Amino acid sequence: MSIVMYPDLKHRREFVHDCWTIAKACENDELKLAISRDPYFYLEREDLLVLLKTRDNRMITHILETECMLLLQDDISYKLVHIKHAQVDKNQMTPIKLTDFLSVLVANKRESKFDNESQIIFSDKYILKFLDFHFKFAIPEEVIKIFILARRFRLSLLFI
Amino acid sequence: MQQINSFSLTPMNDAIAEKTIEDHKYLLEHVENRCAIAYFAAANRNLSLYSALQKYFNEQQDNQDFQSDRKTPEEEFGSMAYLETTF
Repeated sequence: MSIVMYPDLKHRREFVHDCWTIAKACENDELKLAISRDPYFYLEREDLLVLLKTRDNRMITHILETECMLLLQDDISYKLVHIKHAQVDKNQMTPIKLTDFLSVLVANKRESKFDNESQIIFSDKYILKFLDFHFKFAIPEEVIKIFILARRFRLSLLFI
Repeated sequence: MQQINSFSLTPMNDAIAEKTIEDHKYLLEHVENRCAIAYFAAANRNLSLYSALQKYFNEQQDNQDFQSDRKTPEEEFGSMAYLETTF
């Protein structure tokens, strides 16, 4: 896609990301797959959370296989880059790994972060099941680091 | 999606693009289809189709604005004035 050809589409990445948001909201698999193959495609941690909440394991596998890009916005993302031994490109992006999904899972155990009585959405059992499902992408050392970073010691013991 | 992808891959000029959008109006009822047409038009470098879609929605938006701007006589002049002019 060239800037000359689409003068009003200067923010190409945002355009593709908006398309992804619509495709995900409509759960249109064909469109999701087409958009995810776009060279300008990227995801944010919020998008990972939506994927996890909707239990969209097929898409998660596809994202992990194709190494889509993750836009770094939070401090935690930079810590994860260090854990993954990854590189950040000029657009502040890095390839998505299972570690990113795990980090989102452990950071969003409950529906509401600030209400201890809110419903548990990602229980320890679910996280272990998720890890089991995507085990070929898991690097145990990184997984343990993520759990310890989130102070989920019981979960790390269960994983071991 | 295949249908949208195939017609976005077809080379076309502005007139054909507008006709294509007109012919596939039924697709534009769903947000996902609108999004898909915009995306595939951009990804397949079909500027005519992208512009035609944009034009179609601008026209729709103008129509909606026009309809929302039109007030009933009661709203425009007040209830008393409306009654006076009517009766």
